[in-house]
Amino acid sequence: MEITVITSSPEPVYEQIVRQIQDRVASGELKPGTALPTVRQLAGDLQLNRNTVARAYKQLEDRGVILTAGRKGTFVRDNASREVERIKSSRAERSVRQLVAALLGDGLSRTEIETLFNDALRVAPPKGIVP
Amino acid sequence: MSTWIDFAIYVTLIVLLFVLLPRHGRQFTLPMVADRNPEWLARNRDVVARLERSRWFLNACYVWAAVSVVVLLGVQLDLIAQPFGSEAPKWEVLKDVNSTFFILGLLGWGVCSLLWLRWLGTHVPPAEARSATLKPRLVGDYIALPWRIAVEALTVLNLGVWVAVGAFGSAGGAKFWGGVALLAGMSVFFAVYAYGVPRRRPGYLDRVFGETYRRSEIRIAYFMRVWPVVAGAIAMTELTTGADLDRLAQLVVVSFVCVLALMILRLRPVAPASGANPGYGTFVPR
Repeated sequence: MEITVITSSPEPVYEQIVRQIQDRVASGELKPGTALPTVRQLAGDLQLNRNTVARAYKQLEDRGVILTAGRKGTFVRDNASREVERIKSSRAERSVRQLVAALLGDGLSRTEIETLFNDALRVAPPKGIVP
Repeated sequence: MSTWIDFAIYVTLIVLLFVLLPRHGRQFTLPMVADRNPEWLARNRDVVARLERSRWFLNACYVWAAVSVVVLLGVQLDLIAQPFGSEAPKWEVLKDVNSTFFILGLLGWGVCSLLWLRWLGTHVPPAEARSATLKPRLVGDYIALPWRIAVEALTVLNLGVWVAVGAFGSAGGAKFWGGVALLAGMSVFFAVYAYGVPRRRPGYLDRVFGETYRRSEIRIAYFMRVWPVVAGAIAMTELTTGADLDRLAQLVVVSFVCVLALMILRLRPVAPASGANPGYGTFVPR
């Protein structure tokens, strides 16, 4: 199981790591209790500064996805997939609210926004495929 | 024991190190560049052609091997005057000649490797896409627990016997304890090396050879940890029986290096499991 980072991507590298680990937790590839590599190993493998990986791990830990147990290592938490789902839902909710507020601000009616959402959902690609 | 046996072992070492290993290593030149940046290599086909044509390192190794074998043969056939003192026995002259060519050859090889890595670092920018496994690397994944326990036990036993002989036996003195310190130092050095291999940052060779490379390196590291035990056993036999085992020890060392070289020769390059470095597979030798 591998992760890939692209240093030239506009998305910060630590966020790429966070996102990919969260995705693997959500998909069940990383099961609760699974050990993750040390910050040193992952930073070395990705040829990154250790602080970058440490920041990603800290964020995952703060979100309740992983648990660092001292010298024993870093593990996926028992309820990690639920946490990831909660994070995704909350992020989606925030994004939709921001979008709706922006569209209302542009003068669109609630009915028009609803129609736009329904149209978008109708032409949306299957899950997991980003155009 | 005939000196032809010494000669044969030394020639085997020379052929392995300066003929077979360089030939084996040549096929990894392009995968190493492709590993660092496949897009760069795809854009610089002229460099590919130049690297494929270049044979100076290989030819230099062949010349070194030929000169080494010719000098050893000259000594063996008494065609060359003994360069390390006329009183020395022939096996010792062969040993000294071989050691000289071996050390100088390795130094030359090391310098060439550093120059190659410097060239790569200067001319080939690192790729923007980088991959890593999410699986932690542990020694237990590479070498079974019974083997590790056996190596630890042998190391402790070796040092324990030496300390016991020094403390309770007839042996002692600065030279004896100096030898014990050397054995302890070697044991600690190889233990630290073996500890560090699973943890070290992966390099070109890890990606070119895949997981096999680290597995081989860990096995070689554990194999090397047995070396102080072998050296200690030989020295202890000399101490307790009065036998002169210098020649045997030298031949064991050279055979040991030959086995390590054979382990390296068994490595084969692989394409990475993921498509992290697109185009990499193009440069993996078929």
